[in-house]
Amino acid sequence: MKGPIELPDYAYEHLERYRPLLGEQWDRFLDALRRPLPVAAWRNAARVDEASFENWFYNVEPGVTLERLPWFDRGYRLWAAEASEAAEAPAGGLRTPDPTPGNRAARALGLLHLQEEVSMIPAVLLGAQPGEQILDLCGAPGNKTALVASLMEDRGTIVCNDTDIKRLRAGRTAWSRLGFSSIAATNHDGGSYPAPTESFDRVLVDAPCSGEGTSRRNLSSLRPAPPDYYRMLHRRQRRLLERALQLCRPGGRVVYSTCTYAPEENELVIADVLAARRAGGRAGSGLTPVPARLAGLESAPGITRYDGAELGGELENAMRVWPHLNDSGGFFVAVLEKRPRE
Amino acid sequence: MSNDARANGAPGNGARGNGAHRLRLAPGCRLIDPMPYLSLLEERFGISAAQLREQYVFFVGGNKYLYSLCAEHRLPPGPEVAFSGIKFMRISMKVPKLTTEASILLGARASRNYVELEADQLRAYFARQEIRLDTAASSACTGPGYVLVRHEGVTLGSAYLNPRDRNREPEQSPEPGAKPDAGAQHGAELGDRPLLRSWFPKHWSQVITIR
Repeated sequence: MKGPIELPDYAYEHLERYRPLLGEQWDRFLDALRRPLPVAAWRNAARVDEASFENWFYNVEPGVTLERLPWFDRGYRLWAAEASEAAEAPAGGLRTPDPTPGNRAARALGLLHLQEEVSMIPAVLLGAQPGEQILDLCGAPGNKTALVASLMEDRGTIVCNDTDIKRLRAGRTAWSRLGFSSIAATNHDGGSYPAPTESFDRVLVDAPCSGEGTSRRNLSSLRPAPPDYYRMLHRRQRRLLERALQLCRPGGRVVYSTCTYAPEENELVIADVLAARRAGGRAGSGLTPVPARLAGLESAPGITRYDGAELGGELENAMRVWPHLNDSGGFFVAVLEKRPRE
Repeated sequence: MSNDARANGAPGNGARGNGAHRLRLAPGCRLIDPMPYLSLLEERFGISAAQLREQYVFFVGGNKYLYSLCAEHRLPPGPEVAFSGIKFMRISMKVPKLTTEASILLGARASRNYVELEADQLRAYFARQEIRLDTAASSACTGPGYVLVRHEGVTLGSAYLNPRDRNREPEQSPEPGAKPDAGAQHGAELGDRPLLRSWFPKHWSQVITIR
């Protein structure tokens, strides 16, 4: 059984800046960071129905116990079967995530795709429909793209863009294994993506970020950052979001997400983009931050004040997923809808 | 709609923006008439070529593979495509063969020349071993050759069904795409307990462990 994660001193020092945001939940937050991250995956509904999927793990690969995610009917957690049985007894120990999820036949056959639970959130909130044209602006290695394709029943157009062609190619292997024919990869800087404005129905901006929310599988994400780090990331993220809003058609939707806790990379990016559009004379900015909520998923609202500044009440509609709320990684999502043209 | 019409920018579902959305491929790729290949699939597996043409467009990128792409795929002008679609069929061989990805994708549509494995045969299939089938397991097969492999509604990939020589050594079985020998032609008898040679991908067979 995997033991608890020992957080180094630098992690505590780094995380201290979030204590005011967590208040009484601080200890639960730290406890969650010390636990091994559950293995999660989603079922490829185009390939296998729910009964056959669960039957597969009962009859063919019985070393895994499936636990359905309460907020996404295709999502599961994969636990080592022995450990989960033990956990049901009053042993008080930690449940053991499936130790070899990458070696499962179910993965090779494209019956499922491994993806951290919180990483499924933006693809679900994007709400893409079959036949639509979707852009994943910073998409490599293409896992969220794959889930969007699955939710669109592999019908329409999904463009997975990234500046890193090697990571894009890794996506191609996964898309092929899953059998998705609706995806094209492009290799451009997302901030200056070379397509006409209003080209896409929906745009996903899973922005490059400091990755603090991934510490349960990558502790180095909590290492001390250079003084200008957040400001540099903020500039890049804002540029990506602004381009995404240009590329989305009126009436369309843009989902902005990161796997970090830093307000500079989250609410402050949204607040600055909204303020800039309002300053540009667009009535009401033409944008509506709509509630990013999913039934069954515990989350906190976006913050509306930070570092003495008012960010705007509409930021409450954003979603913060702290690791202790769902025993997951940390995540931030905002959903912006562009007003239809009158 | 023909492949050519799609390439010329016939409006598709959801065209928007300046209306210039159209099917666009990566440099060096070109649409082709897939019927010679799809007819092979229809003949062997009973998979409707017409349905495949409705669902996908097909293109080649070099001489080795046929690729499939969603027929509704449309891109705005500007961004150059790095790659798209999935490898569908290896066409450089004497006998064109579905890729493993496409075999798995289409397996449920096959109405003939598929084999249903029992649970206790899966380990051998994933280990690329030979499996001696009983008559019932091969009842949907019309003759020796290339078959799709399934288990309880899940397609596992492809294999070669060899009826002739029960004593044939595994290494003498043909590789995917090899020219069929006389005994593997249509109309040959399958006989009792034909031999199934797994074509499960080698790189996967080395990592997958099932009980």
